[in-house]
Amino acid sequence: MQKLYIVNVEGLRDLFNLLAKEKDLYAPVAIGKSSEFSKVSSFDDARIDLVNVLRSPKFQLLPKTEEMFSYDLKSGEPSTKPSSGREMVFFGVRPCDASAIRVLDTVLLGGRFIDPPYSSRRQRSLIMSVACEKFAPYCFCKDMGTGPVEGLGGDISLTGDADVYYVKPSSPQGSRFIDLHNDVFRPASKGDSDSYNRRRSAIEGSMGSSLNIKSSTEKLKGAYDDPLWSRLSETCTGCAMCSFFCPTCYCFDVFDYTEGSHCTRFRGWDSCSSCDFSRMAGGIDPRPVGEKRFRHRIFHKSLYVPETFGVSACVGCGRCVSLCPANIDVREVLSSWA
Amino acid sequence: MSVGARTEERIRSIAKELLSRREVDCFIGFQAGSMEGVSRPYFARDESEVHRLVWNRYCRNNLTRYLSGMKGKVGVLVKGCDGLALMQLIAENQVKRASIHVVAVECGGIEAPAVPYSGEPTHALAEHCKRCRANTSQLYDTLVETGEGMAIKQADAGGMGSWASPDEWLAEFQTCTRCLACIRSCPICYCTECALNGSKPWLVSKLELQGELATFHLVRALHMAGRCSECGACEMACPARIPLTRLYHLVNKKVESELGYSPGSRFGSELVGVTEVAEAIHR
Repeated sequence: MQKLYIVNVEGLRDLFNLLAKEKDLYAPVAIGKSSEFSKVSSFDDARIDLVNVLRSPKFQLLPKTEEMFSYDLKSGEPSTKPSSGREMVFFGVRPCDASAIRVLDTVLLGGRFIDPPYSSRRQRSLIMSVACEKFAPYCFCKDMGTGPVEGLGGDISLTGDADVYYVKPSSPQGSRFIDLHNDVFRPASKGDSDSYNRRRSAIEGSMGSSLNIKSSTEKLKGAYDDPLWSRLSETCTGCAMCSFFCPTCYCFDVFDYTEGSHCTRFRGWDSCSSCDFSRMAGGIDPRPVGEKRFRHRIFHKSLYVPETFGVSACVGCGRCVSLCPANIDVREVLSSWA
Repeated sequence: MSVGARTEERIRSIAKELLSRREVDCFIGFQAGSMEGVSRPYFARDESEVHRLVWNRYCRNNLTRYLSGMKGKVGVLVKGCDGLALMQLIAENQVKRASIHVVAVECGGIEAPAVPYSGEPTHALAEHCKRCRANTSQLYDTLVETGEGMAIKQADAGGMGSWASPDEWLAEFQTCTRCLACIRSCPICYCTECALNGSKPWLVSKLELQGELATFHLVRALHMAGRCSECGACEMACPARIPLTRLYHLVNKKVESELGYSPGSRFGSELVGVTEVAEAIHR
């Protein structure tokens, strides 16, 4: 059985004060009408009362734009900036988003090719997830098996109960962190374990479920040529917000920026929902219309990534559902063939 | 029967008639969304589908966004601001008047959408409705009278918008992800290749160099000046809710005072050129 620990809010305050001094401590913060993981220095700055933040930790771990290398056009000599930085601790990541980091890890670190900048950032980051206590109408982590108490990723998961948190390490790195800070995390007693189980069942019981994901994805396999795609996608404006804010969408485009004889190669997020994503030299585009791009995104999330990497690329965070200007709800799309 | 229910019935019967008589191949209206407080665009293609059409204060989208590129004759439901956009689209040769059947509904204002990714309803009038210039489209084939007046009297209007300090705007622009949802939800942004998104030439790169977010928004504002119907589609689609409609309202006002031109106002006559607009804004 996984070990269970307990920490009270005072303990977390002390821990925050300590961590903020030596590491970059990220927690949910509301900025205007947007919300994101931002550096904080005290526990009271962490907005864990928010259902979730708009900008997932993907914004830090796989930034919108980053330099890959630069080179001199005359000499042709390439140079890379050493990828380094302070250690990062993410506190208050929701179980869905912690699961999303596992998806990114699987794709960017788990295959034949390792993504060096992402790898470097992941090696120096610790993910502390906090169980959800309230849900929004677009949340469907329970259907995806990625919440609401513990996700499928992250290093440590916390579950709040009044002024204490039950703490469970979920990776060797998480266990080491807890051992290192054994002055704040104390092993749970039998009574604590029972309370944790009660709390866990209460949270899980309070969340609804609407989707039978297994049967939906099974039926999706035979739906590639279904005429229904045209109706499902007709209100899509191709804004790609679903991808940009998706915590697991990792596609990027590569481009060069030249100033004088110095050229820098960058990469930046791209999306299969965008009209120029699959356009090739010579003007050939295998997905020239919105309908095909829409279908591709659903197939990629639900079938291609699971078949290739063994993980679902949808974690049920509901950002796409919540943000879509046309309210295209992926749950309804997946249920279309149920 | 409430105003909403009566209006809904009327819209359904108009759509039913248009579809059954084959006067239109498709009727674009709204249907109930997947969540409380959301209505969404709906394309009814058969009279058996018109029962799904709804009308309420969550009918936020500007449905004229879908018109350019549609085949056949299309029926479209428009609020006052959507009608202005439609007149602008017709004036700019993007939509053929003869290919559409316009159903104008007297709009009493819409509710501001929930704060992005919070799910909390606002129960407040949308920001752009406070600056409403016409709650019913002047252009229509069928009018749906609801008896609802302007959402707010101009005199009472709060947040009419003034030029905030450049620093305040720059701070707003900093929350931009450059997801381009503003562009893609805008009926007036019909260009298939956008200068602000293209890789050649690079007006604004993806590198987020100093000042690029401001360049992006200011170039777009210039393109919107004198053309934006202030329907709020961009602002409501924006994940950071940057007050874009306020920005476009300000440039619209400037063009109106300098050139006497406002969106839809020269319907059927000469358009104003972009250089004229640029000069007017600089004055």
